[in-house]
Amino acid sequence: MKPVIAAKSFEQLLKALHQLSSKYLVVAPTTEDGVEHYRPITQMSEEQKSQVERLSLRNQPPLGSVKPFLFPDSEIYIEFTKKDGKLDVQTPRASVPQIILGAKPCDVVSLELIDKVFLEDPVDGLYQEKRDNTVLIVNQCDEMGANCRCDDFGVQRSTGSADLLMSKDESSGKILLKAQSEKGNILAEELLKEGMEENPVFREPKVPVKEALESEKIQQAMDDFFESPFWEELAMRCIGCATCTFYCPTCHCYDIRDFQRKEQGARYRTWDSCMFPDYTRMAGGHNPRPTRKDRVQNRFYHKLSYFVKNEGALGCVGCGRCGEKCPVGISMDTVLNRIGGEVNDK
Amino acid sequence: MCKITEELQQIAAELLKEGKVDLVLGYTKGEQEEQSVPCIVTQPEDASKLIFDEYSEKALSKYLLEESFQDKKVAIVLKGCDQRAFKLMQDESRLGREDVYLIGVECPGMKWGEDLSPFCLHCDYRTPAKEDVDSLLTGADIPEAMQGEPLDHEDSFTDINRLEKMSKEERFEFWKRQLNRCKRCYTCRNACPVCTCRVCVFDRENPDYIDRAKDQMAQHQFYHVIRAFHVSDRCVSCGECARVCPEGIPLHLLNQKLLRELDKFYGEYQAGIDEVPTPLSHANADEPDFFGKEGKA
Ligand code: SF4
Ligand code: SF4
Ligand code: SF4
Ligand code: SF4
Ligand code: SF4
Repeated sequence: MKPVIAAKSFEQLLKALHQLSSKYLVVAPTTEDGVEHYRPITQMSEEQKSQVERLSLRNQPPLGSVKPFLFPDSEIYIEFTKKDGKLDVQTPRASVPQIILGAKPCDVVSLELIDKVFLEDPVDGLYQEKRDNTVLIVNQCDEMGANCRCDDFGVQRSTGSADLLMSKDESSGKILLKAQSEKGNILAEELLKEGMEENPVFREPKVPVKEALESEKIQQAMDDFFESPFWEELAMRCIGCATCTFYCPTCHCYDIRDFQRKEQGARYRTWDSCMFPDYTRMAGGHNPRPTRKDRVQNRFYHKLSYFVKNEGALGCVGCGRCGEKCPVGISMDTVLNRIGGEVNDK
Repeated sequence: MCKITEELQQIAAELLKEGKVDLVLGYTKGEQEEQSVPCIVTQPEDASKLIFDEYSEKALSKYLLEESFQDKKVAIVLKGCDQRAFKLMQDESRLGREDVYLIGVECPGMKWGEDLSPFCLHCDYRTPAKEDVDSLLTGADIPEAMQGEPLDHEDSFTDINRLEKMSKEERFEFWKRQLNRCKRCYTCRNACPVCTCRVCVFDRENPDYIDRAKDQMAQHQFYHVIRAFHVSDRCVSCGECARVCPEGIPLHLLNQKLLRELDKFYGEYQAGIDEVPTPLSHANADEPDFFGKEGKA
């Protein structure tokens, strides 16, 4: 039996979550200077809190994905100090239980894709710790947003590893939550104690599910397309920034650096982007991907071909962020519409 | 189809047909609503893709410095600010005038969200000078706000006036909040037509003073202060840096504030119109000496 619980209103749900904020870090989507990100609810102004309902229930992801809460853009994992000629090494681990409210189905799948990389042997401990510590409350998208392509990627309504599903009952205004994992059950219990009530039914979303692109077909079409002059053209347009990769919920590349000041320092990892020339530059200066064409190809082939070969799935969830924010309008469609086959007449 | 677009397509087709250029770099309609994106046309029959409208905001001149454009004969569409950037590259010996065919276009002013760009409202160089380009296309549909005299700096960049009135602490809080969102994706730098250093200081391998961490406020400040100074006197006011920032950081307020101050110290200077050197790239013996009182003169 999967328990369904209800809050009378979104406000009540937020209040209940607030009550739990001594135990969990609770984050939810809001805006800051008009830019949409997940932020801790305890740090929000009243104005920002008033944005949470709309953005949580909206069928379109915010600009910032939930990824930074599991794989931060910068993360120190070793600290060292020199004291009396001796080196003291510390490993700060500060992962706290966290609740992410208003995640989207595409976010859930993006994490499942990152799991394939980070949770396979050798397991990435920094990520695993946070993944285990995170409870995802996922909006059931009813329609697709303007730039959403989740249907193409078979992600729409795909809420496999969500801990709780969330839906609004329009007639009563109730917010319904359905637990579907152990973590979700525990949180549901806690929310019941904070005044939410059991509910007999959950409202399933009305979205008609479209047939998704077939990953092997795409991969094959991409491989056949490798020598096309299209890539040279696309690379001439791309300005080689990192917008598409830094906002992508499935990109997971990082760099490891040391930060040193006199007697102390830290080792941290920080997001890297395959669109940067120094991403593949080796000590000694050799660069196996010397041109922008190599780099643009790498990004698209990693998502649409190599990931299929290595992990059995397309490495894109169709969230649309890259296309929306690319300064020169390059999106996944820009490539998918050109690689031929069925994809073309989409 | 507007007059400029029509003529542009004709010229592009001719240039390609006659083999005068290998490619024409202009704009075409993007995948999203109200979006125009850079477009490279190499075949005469594709010239019909080209358009020019109030969303053709990208600074195309920047592409001319890219490696993939080097061994090709290029024709490029330039509105006023973009031609200024081209001129600056030329003056700074980054490229030669004779290598490129310039198609100047009269600019109707570019959008800035729903409104017109404050840069454009202030712009008095919408159309490149005839003698500076190879073809000049005019006849744009000029919106009312762009007709008549351009606005003063104070009247177009009103947000700077607001920031100037803040207390130091308020201002610091404002920039702290804004810059804290910076991801150092370098989109602002890569889109900027005057960020043209051969090796950017932020791309150097392991300099001691810059760090890659994205959660270090000081590092973001460092990046932005350095960049703001590097572009301050050379900014051609295209507005791209602020427009492309995915985090909506109002970078133009930084460099336009600097420009405002530079104008006061050194007299008005417009990069890409006035002669080089730019105010900050040289020093005159009779200049005010800001460091003298600290004994560093
Ligand atoms: S590649 Fe683009 S559309 Fe796909 S998941 Fe990444 S940001 Fe979203
Ligand atoms: S965001 Fe666009 S311009 Fe920037 S690297 Fe990605 S594809 Fe290229
Ligand atoms: S500043 Fe604005 S009006 Fe002036 S040329 Fe550039 S885009 Fe056109
Ligand atoms: S574009 Fe914005 S987020 Fe990216 S580096 Fe520039 S200021 Fe930072
Ligand atoms: S600093 Fe900004 S406004 Fe000035 S030239 Fe560069 S991109 Fe354009």
